Formats: sequence, C-alpha cells, structure tokens
Amino acid sequence: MKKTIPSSVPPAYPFTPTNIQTGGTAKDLLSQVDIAAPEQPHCATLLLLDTSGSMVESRKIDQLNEGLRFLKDEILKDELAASRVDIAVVTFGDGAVKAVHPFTSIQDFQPPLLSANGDTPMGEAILQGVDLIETRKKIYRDQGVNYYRPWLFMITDGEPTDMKKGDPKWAMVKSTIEDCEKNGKLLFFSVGVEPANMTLLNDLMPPSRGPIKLRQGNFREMFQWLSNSQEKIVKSDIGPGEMVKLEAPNGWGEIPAK
Amino acid sequence: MTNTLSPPYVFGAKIPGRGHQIKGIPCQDAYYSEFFQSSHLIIAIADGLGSAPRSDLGAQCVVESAVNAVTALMAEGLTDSRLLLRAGIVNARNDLFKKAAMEICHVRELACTILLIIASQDGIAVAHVGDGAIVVKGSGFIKIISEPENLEYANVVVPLTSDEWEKSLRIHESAEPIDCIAAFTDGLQNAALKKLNATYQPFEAFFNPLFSYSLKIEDTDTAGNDIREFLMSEKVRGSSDDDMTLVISVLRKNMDQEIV
Repeated sequence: MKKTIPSSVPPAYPFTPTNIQTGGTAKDLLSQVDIAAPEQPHCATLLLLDTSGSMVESRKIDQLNEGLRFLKDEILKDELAASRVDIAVVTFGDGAVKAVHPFTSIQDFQPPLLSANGDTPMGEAILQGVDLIETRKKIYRDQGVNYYRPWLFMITDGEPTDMKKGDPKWAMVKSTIEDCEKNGKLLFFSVGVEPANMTLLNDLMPPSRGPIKLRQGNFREMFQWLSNSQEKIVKSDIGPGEMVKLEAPNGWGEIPAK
Repeated sequence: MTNTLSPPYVFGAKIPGRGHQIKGIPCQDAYYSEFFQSSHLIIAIADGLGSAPRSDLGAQCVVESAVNAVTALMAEGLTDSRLLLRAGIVNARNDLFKKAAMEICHVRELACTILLIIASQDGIAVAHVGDGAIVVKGSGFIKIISEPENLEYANVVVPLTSDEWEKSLRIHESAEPIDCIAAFTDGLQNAALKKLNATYQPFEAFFNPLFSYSLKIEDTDTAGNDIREFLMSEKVRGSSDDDMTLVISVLRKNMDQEIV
C-alpha cells in the first residue's frame, strides 16, 4: 500500500494496560471492559403557556395545570424518554413574560400551579422562548452533551396584546420564527384554544407548520400526543432535512386550511 | 499462549438494539471483510437508518460492494489508498441505487452509513460517511482515527444515499504501524467514547481490556461468539437502544504484548 502523508487525526493518549488482570483466559479480559456511559443526548422542550385572564373561562387554566402533571407522568413511563427529555415553562399573561420553571430533566420537573390574569404578551414570550432555547443549546455544547432539535410548544387562547399584524414587533417575531424554521434551530408548534384567533396564528406561523386548533376540552389528549412525540424523537435517527414522523394530531386537534 | 493466533486476523459480531426488537425491526447493521494476498485486510461496517424501512438490505449491500470493489482494484494493481477508498464508497453508493431499482423502492429506504478500512502492517487508511467510529492501538498509544460525524442534532446523520454524502465523506490515513483496530457503529459510541471539548476520545477502560483480549484469542469463531455475548451483556446493551456492531482486527503482535 502506498505510504502517504498522514492526514490530521486527534492526538493519541498513552496506552496504560497496568490495571488489567492478565492471569486468566482471554474471556476474563473481556469481562474487565468498562463502559464510558457519557451523558445521554437531551431533548429540550420549552412550554410557552398563555396565562391571560380568559384562560379562567371553561376551566382552561385548571386543565392546563392538570395537563402539566399528566405530561410528566406519561414521559416518565418510557425509560429512554425519562432520561433524555428536559422541560422548561414560560408563561405570558398579566402583561408579563415569566420563566416560571427553568430547564430541568423531566425527572426533576416540578409542574407549576399556574393562575390566569391580564393581557397576552405573546410576541415578547416567543422572543424570550427562542433566546432561552438558544442558551440551553449553548449549555449542552459547553458540557459536551449531545442534543436533539429543541421544541417550542405554545398554547394560547387569544391573540397577542403586545403586537399587531404589520407593526415592528410583529415583523421581528415573524422573522425570528422564519429564521428558526429555515435554519432548523428549533421546532415551533402552536396550539390555539377556543377562542384563539386562528387566522392571526396562521399568519404568524411558517407555512410548513400551521397552528393546531384544540378540540374542546382535549388538553389531556394533547399532552398525551406531546409525550408520545417526545418518545419518538429520542428514539429516532433521520437524514439531514428530514423530520421525525409524528402521530397526526387528529385525535385532539384540527389543522385549519391555509 | 502458544495457541494464540498469528496476525493478521479479524472477528466481530452485531446485535439488534433493544428498541428494534421491541418494534419487531431486524438488525440494520452489517459488516464484511476480506484479506488481500494475506497482507492487507479490507473491512466495511454499515448502519442502516432507523427511519429507512429497508436499510438492513442497504447496509448489507454497501459492505459487500465496498470491500469487493477495493479487492478487485487491488488485484488489478491499484495501490493508492485514497483512490481505492473512494472507489469503494462510490461503488457502494451506485449499488444502493441498483438495489433500489430491483426492490422497486426509493433509494432513501435503503439509507445507511459506511466505514471502510484498508489495513496492513504498514498502516491504515479509512473512509467514513455518517456516524460510528474507528479506534486503533499502536505501540504505546490508543487513538480514534475516525470520529462520528459532528452534526448539531443527535438524531441526524448523513447516510450514503444523501445528496450531501460527499460533504460528509472523511478520509484519513496513517503510516505508523498499527497493532489493533476496532470499528463500531454508533450503538456502541456511548460505551466506547467520551466527549471532551466537542471532540471524541476513546475510553481507555473500554479499549485496554478489549485489545488485550484480542491479542490473546485462539480462534476467530469463538472470538466472534465472545464479542456477541459481550454486546448482549446488560452492561454494554444497557448503554444504548440501538443496534451494535463491533469488528476487531489484529495486525501485529509482539511477545511483550502477549505477556501484558
């Protein structure tokens, strides 16, 4: 074989066999193999939740709170998802965006008890949600942890009160969403709960992923779908540009025609 | 000790991932090897994508195609390892398209990665598309000679069927003498590698005993069964849900290595 100039490979480290018990059979040596078992890859999911005053009606805020506890229980049933899913909760209501739960493993997730009041600063919430996810990815990279494409999962029953279609904030939020989609930075899902302005949500979302309208009272089914989807993500392998095949949301939601 | 094998020799095994067994999916990994004139060893391993329904066929197709293409060209007198490796990879990709036509399916249903190795006592050359890794042992060192591809997301891999395969193709050569090679698919990455500062390093406590074992075996059939049992152990299998393939080759042996 022609000898050629070695191309660059990472530097070697010294082979130090001194700790191996060498007296037995070959198979005894195999039993001494140890496992690196580095950190599992992580899937960061940020729940962006509307806690404006209208969420009090029809017990929507109660169903949301129950749904968060149900989500945790369901994800924990799958061993792989339990070790890989990270959750954070950001709310928008009462005129403010609040990071009510930082990113933690699903095992350490303490479902918050949310209350509803005031306005709907959805625009600001989306921008902060995107920032929090980018920060989380940087933490993963700094710690040498592999990660899946994160999720930003928004649930709203209204329309934004901090931006109007066509104003500068709207333009910024829309271009942020488009940038995230185009560059594969995260997966943004939005769910509209009655009486959400689905037309406006439709205008905000990218063409490839329109908003889903929640069927009346189907919070639990939606969180079941979210748990099942997380399980599919952490068990998937796909080529570049492909999407993990998720269950259709037919059981709990409708996708409005564009 | 006098019954241990004289190099070069190669052995290995593959097992289905626990996740695959639960879903009733066959093992989608494959491996194949041939000697050339008893001085060179050509090895290929491949990992079919979980999202590709016939990737077990794809993986088997590429390993045989790549190795056979390389040995055929070596028989014709070609010695440039880069050209040999590239020809092996291109041949494998072409055969995937032919296979897809025969199976009447889209080629993406056969999507798989590939690691191709040409090794002798004089050195090693590898070509790599996708994940998995190749680790070698030399005199006083262990090093990773081809790392898993470094894409942003853990579940995304560039298969040989992708239009982007050439961007993913990495070719490495090393002219220093190599004693042992371990090639494995990504199912074994958690067990065998650690990640430091965004680069992968071989986990010493995994490879030390593994290579010592490899130097001490008496026949490759028994060794293949031992490796299979090893992969099936709770310790190893518990480190990943994915299919696992591990192929080991010993090229050189010194008396003092056997004592170690």
